[in-house]
Amino acid sequence: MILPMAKNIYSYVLHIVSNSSDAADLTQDIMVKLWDTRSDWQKIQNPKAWVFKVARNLCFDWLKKQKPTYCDSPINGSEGYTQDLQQEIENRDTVALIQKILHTLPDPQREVIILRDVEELEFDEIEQITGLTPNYIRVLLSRGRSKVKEMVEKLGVREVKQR
Amino acid sequence: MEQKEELLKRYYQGETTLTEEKTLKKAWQEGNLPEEPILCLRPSAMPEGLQKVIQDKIRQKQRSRRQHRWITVGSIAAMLVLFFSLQKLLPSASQPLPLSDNLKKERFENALRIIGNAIEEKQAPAQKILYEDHHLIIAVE
Repeated sequence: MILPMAKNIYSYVLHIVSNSSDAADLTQDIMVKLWDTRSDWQKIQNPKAWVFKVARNLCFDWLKKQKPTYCDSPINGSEGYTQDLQQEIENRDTVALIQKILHTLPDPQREVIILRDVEELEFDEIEQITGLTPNYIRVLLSRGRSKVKEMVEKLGVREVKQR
Repeated sequence: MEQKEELLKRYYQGETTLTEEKTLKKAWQEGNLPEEPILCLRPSAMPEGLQKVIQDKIRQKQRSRRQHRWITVGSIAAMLVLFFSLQKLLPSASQPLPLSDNLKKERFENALRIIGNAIEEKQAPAQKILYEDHHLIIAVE
């Protein structure tokens, strides 16, 4: 039941930690942790949401260990974009570009976009994972998506290559 | 087209369903919405071999847990064997050691000596109390 979820977990973790090696290590830890709690599986109503919740908690623990001065404050605008991002634009690697933009969003917006647009979870599942209300999730999603669009336009990306 | 625009509008308001979002993503993949790169988002592929690594790790964990359980059971069994063996080997409290006559005599003498010491200690200098109340005691040695 849990093993097929590994690819979803890896994808989610990768979007949070943005490093494939760390994501692979964390995914292993998460899977082992999930396996350890297999006696509780029967009691869980929504296993998918629960798996993501466990993954989320472990990722945040990991991030706290990595960044002692963990900060929730958003990175505003596109001031942070420099040569690195311009290079991405030149490469026309849409996925990488959007992922880079996502990393400039405030954490709650980024998380909601990852859960909805990447992992394709329902609002009630996102609610269970994040503890946010569905209305607030919609607000965050709306703001996040609009900000991504705005940044893409600001950066002058009119047409991007599809992969 | 109008339908798509309406859908996009709702998408940016966070009001679309998963099915509608899949429709939009499909449209982007088909090249119909090139100006909406956000629709390219999808789960990242897992590196090859990671699934096997995870399975091995879980299997290893299971094995070590099983070993740990066997070690615990073995330790308890060994302790029980040791306990019962010692109980059989060592004399129990209900069976006192047989004492020799000399030892009995020595113990008797020791006992007398202890009693004698105790009596001597009690012969403290005599005191005669002349007056005593809660605050004052007048005594003569």
